[in-house]
Amino acid sequence: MTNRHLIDFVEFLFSKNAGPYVITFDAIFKDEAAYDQVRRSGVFNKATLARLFNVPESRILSIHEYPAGRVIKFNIVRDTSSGDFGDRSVFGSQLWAPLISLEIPSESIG
Amino acid sequence: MGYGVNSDSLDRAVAMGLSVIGADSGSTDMGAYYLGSGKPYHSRATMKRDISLILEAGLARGLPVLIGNAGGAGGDPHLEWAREIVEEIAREKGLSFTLALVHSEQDKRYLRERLRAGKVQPMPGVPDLTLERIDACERIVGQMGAEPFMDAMSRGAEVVLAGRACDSAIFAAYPISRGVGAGLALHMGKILECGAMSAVPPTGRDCLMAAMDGDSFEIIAPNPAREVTPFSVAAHMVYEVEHPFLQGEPEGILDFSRVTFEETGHRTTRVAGTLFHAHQMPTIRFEGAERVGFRSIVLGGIRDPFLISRLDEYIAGCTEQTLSLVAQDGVSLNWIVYGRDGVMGEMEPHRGRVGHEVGVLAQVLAQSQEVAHDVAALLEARMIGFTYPGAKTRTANVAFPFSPLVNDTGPVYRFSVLHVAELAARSELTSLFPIELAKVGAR
Repeated sequence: MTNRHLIDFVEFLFSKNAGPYVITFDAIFKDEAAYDQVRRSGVFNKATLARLFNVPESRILSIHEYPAGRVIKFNIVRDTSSGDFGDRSVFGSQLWAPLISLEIPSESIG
Repeated sequence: MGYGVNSDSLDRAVAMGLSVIGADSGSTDMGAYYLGSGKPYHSRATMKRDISLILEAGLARGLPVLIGNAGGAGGDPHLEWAREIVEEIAREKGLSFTLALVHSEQDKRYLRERLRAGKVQPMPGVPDLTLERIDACERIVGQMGAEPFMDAMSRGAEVVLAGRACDSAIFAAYPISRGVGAGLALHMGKILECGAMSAVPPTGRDCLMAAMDGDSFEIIAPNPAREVTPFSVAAHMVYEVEHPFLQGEPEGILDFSRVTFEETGHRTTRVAGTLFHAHQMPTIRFEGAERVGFRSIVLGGIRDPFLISRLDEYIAGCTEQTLSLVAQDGVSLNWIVYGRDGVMGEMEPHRGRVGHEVGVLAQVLAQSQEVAHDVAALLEARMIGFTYPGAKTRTANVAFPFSPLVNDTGPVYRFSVLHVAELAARSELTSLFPIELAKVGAR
């Protein structure tokens, strides 16, 4: 079985401000099975996310799981605060696209 | 509020029997410009329509109407803007009521004193606070909790227009004043603050209701076209926040880690199990906007494949030639190239995949609008005329869509203060937010 991508597991992907200095990324999963598989795969770790978004690991502020919302969330500290000169996304929106093709390793059965 | 409240849902909610109507109409989300400039974010006409709807609905039944973040950013000019709208509505509709204006703009002396006392912490990702940063701010506001709303109601206010407020507090104030626990009430407020964003399909433009119980509450969609499910509520609780189950409030930290959700009907979900870890001494978040300069912009499109293949050289060359003609200090240039890495900048993994056409937004920041404009005019001339080896056109590098070619966008602000201060006394939960009571309209 080939690896699948995060987009195959989610209902929505978001990036929005969590205050003017932090962008919060949410992956909201289709169902519990999808949430569990991605959570168990461990791909949401600082090293992978830092590489995916081309930022130093120190800018990955935190990674959280919230089963009731079927959400995995992580936070990236901005290099330019919302609305400051040089900002590219005042609401922090539209920055999630690299997550689409994040590879989720398939699980071996048994 | 301010985006066009759904009046049918409001009527339905009122008919179901409300105790209080709350509305949130602001945020830091749209950047520091609004706080710094004193300007509102929303359209005045839509805000007037929305305030009018909830004022009439509330006053007709004697329900308190609580509006937080009135005018957007919470400064005195924002509150004044909202007050004028309310007074205009009262005149036009013949309404009369007691209005409380709750101010959130702060005297800088208080924050300076808390900083000197070592009681100020930055929000995540924010540099440490300094006295210079405080002084550089055009305007600083504090984010009030539920207490000033409760105080205003107990002093006879029928309508409360409050400046910068925790969105949760707007909705929690009334239930807390009736004996509901602060944690449960604030949690309910967190869910209602974005309207029907917690429903399916989600939208911030529709109303949402909560029914408080002893140790739980029910979230109800008054609009029959929407459902409220355990998943829709839980998914919204993580929206636009750093942590999914720990969220700071002035009086303590809300903890959703043990929360349970139960579907109680087609359009209703019951929520219980909220924990609240009270601070020994409350904290208040302060927000301050510093003006970093004035901006002028030049916007253009490039369809020339030879120029697109040399964009970095083009941008560096135009920048250097322009800056070499600028005598003033404090001038910065910034380029956004749409079609290459316009949205993501250095985070873009596909920077090498440039399309057949790119959009170029060149921005100049200077210490006055005049200088920004002049430098942008120099830049525009370099952009159209830049020469390079292998060019297949001359003095025609860019398609500019506008005349005027240079557009002045005004001052640029930054949130230089985004810090939490531990109060010196609990009484500051209200004393930092002075209340002005006024009779509006004829009795």
